[in-house]
Amino acid sequence: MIPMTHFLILGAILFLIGAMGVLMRRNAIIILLSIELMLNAVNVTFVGFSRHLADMTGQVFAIFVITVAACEAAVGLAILIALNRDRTMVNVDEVNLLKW
Amino acid sequence: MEVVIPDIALSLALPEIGLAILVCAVLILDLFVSIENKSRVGVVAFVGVVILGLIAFGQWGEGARTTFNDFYVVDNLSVFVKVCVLLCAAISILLLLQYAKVEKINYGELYAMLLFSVFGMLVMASGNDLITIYLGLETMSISIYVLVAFMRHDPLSREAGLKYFLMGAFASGVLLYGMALTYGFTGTTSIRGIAAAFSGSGGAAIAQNPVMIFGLILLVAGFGFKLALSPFHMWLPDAYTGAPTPITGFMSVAVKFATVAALMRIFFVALPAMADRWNALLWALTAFTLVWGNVAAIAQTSLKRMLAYSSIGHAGYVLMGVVATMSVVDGKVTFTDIGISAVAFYLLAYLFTNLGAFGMLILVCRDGYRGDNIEDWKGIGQAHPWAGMAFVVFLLSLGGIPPTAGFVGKLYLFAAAVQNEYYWLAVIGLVMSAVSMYYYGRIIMVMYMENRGESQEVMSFSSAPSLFFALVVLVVATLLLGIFPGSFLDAAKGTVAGFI
Repeated sequence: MIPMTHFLILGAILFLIGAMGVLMRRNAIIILLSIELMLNAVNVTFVGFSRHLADMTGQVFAIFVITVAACEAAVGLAILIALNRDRTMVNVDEVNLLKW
Repeated sequence: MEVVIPDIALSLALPEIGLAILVCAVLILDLFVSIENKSRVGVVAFVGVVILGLIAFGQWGEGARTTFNDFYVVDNLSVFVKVCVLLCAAISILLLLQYAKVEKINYGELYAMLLFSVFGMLVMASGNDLITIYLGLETMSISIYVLVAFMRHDPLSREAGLKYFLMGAFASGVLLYGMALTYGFTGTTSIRGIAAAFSGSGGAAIAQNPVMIFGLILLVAGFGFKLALSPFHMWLPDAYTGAPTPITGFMSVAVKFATVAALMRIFFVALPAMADRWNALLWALTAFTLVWGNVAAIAQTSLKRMLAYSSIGHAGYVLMGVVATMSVVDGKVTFTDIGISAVAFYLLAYLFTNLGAFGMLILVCRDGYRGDNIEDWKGIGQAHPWAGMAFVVFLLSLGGIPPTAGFVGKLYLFAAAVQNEYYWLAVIGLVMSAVSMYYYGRIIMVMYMENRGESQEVMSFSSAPSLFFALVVLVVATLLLGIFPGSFLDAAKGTVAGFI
């Protein structure tokens, strides 16, 4: 039996890696992947809690999160493709027409 | 095994069910309408939204009722938010009818995506469970990412879409982690269940647990991103500037309505046990947002971007009402009604005012000309006196000058802040109100006191009847709320019934 703290620590580490990826990486696709990592870290946390509490709600929530993450990825990639249509770039530093 | 089918009152979710049918109808109708006549799809969407608004209005004043196994609640606050969001959507569709033609984005999907986001907002307003609130939030956000990037031929719009998407998805992750930790400590995702877990035995220990406090901070930060409170606001000016103007107006108002409703439900109903902590966090965010939103707006040369920064400032005012809902005396927290009703009234005033201000920008749009620089408005006051007057009404209302809606809204907010002894917040709010009059006043000055340059293009105003109708309604409503606020104030006070 794996203690619950292990799930939580794994979730926290994954979430931290994801958040650092969003804040530090400059490639839009890597940022997108990092966001997915954050959402999956949350799923690990939900499922870990669900197992500890012997309560199904956490797993239901995780399923919903997976569904939403798929929708989000679809829209995000569509926006990236629209952005790439006339100039090839995925580097977010080059997305700089709007600046105050 | 015995299967128990819970008692589901579908009639309570009538606006949402109707809206889902309407979206499907709009998408199917879109297939049969030729590309020149896509405005007809918009007209169908408009009529549908108005009817749904009336249906939602019919649910007013019948107390808090839950359905779908306690996942869903219909009370006065959610009905108020739903009616306002549907009203905002209806006016935005009127503004879109003209703008979409000019910018050549007149596709049926435009109206369908708008209605999808409205669906998410209605679910958020009624969500009585973290799952419902999260799903509503995502339905709203994902649809709005698409709407922001809808002008695919315009690099600004695509860029705005990317920035909004990346920050919005990041914010969802942060918010979700906060929800996961809350679930872990309370063992439930139901709003009432969480409150019960905190008030039960061991609840005091949960409220002191550092991991739960971390979860609370994540919840505050997630909502901060969604509402664009400083220091989480950096996506907003770009997203608002690049988005199609009617969508900017729509998201600046409707997203605030839905997100504030969800925020109040989570913090006031589910987490009152940690009120001292989140209230301090929200206090700091409010003060920072008020100052930064208004000060940064001064430096803008683009009118659209200035209105974007000013909407950060207005988010600060709304949050001031949220903070002022509670009074903390010697560490003892009590909730008072005045804050919630002040928030409701301020949002209603902001709906008419801000949509009007963005509507003025749409009025001057024509092929290849956007007119969204402040310079473009030189001498409009003399050349187009009626349009100039309408813009003055909206700007005065944004700044909070009588006899407009914004004045009554701010008065009510400051009254709430003073009553619950948030004197510093009231002082910051007042000073920033004065600062905001500097940059709103600058536009009035440019319109009336400066002459149009020789080289400047002649400003011509659109004469589309839908746009004219929308702007007349908005001007009248802005003045009506300012001069005869009585029945609207009663409605705002009524939102509290059955909430806490």
